[in-house]
Amino acid sequence: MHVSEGVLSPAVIGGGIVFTAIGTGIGLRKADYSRLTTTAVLSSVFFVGSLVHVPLGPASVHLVLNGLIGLFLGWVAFPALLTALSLQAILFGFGGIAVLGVNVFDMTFPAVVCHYAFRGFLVESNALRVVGGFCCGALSVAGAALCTALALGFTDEGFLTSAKILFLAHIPVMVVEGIVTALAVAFVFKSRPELLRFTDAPVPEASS
Amino acid sequence: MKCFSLLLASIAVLLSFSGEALAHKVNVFAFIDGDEIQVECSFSRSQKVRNGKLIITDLETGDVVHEGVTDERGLFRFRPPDAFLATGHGLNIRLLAGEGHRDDWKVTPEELRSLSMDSRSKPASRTQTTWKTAQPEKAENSGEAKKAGQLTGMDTADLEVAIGRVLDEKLFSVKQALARQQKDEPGLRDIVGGIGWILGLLGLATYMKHRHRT
Repeated sequence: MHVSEGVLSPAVIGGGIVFTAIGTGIGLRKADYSRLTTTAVLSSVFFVGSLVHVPLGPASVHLVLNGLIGLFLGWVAFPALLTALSLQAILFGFGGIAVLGVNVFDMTFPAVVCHYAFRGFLVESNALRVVGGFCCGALSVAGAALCTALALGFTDEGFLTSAKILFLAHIPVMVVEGIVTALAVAFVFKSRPELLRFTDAPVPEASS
Repeated sequence: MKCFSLLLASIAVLLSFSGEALAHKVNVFAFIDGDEIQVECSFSRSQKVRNGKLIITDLETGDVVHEGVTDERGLFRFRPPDAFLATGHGLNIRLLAGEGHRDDWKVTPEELRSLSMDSRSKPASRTQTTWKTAQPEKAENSGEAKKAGQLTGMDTADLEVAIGRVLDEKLFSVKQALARQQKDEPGLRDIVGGIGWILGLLGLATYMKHRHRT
């Protein structure tokens, strides 16, 4: 999912930088500074998460975790993932500095959309909470694959070819991410329910 | 339980054709092996790039020197044209592995010099064969003086080529390991360093917040 340096056209790179800057600006304005530690921990989880390979049959998948970060942080996921992806680019050589804007937008925007689409599920029953977590994890990866395909669509690879390959390749990741996010939501709801209290959303009840 | 097993099996089947797009980055590295350049392409140490497109260009002018596709083992071997070797320029090897994955490797003019020497000494290799076939006849006349005569009878260029070939064979795995090391995967130091950076930024943000309050 990390697009390499020199693949995308300058227009796409520029667009990615602008959209990421807007998202990061909104994220910083909406940031609840009492939850800075949570943001830093989730940013670290994303930074390390992509190195965790889950063995599955003859191969293995690595986690993306953008859905998990988006679900807990909303717009604040933009500065959190910008930090994590910058460090991945500098220290691991994943992606690149010039394409950072595109990579951040591709992974974060679908997660933010999923946050607003599914956070209502978190205050409902246990079953709905698990469904909400699963959908958020799975659809954030699907959205990231779609956004990456859109970015690549402006190169000579073409949108349809890229979208087809990326989407098919990420189906197993969507399932794994969905399960991981659902389990994480269920665990956090039991141990730290305050993490699921969003300032502009209904408050979940820990007793349910 | 049956449904879960079915789900895992379906994921495993899907994974068999999904590996390449799931990779974080792609690596290409190359080294001189004999009178050719060996290019190795991989997504990780075990996952090779199959049918990856390679574009080899002149490092100085950017002209395309050679093009090719990696095989099932992620390998590609080629020899730059003699006309290019004569220019004394380096090479840039670009791998396009699809889905936004791209990587470059530079071969310096110094490294290519051994290939240029090989091409210059090609006619001499025939002399080497002659020397080898002549060896049993000469061996009949035993004695130190005769042996010395054999060695002095061998052209210096032939000797260089012969030694070069033996060294190439012996040093193949060393060159391969050294080239791979230059594009190693993230280690514990990088991971701990990255987490340290995030915690440092957290500390900075907390400091800024409290500074605002005071």
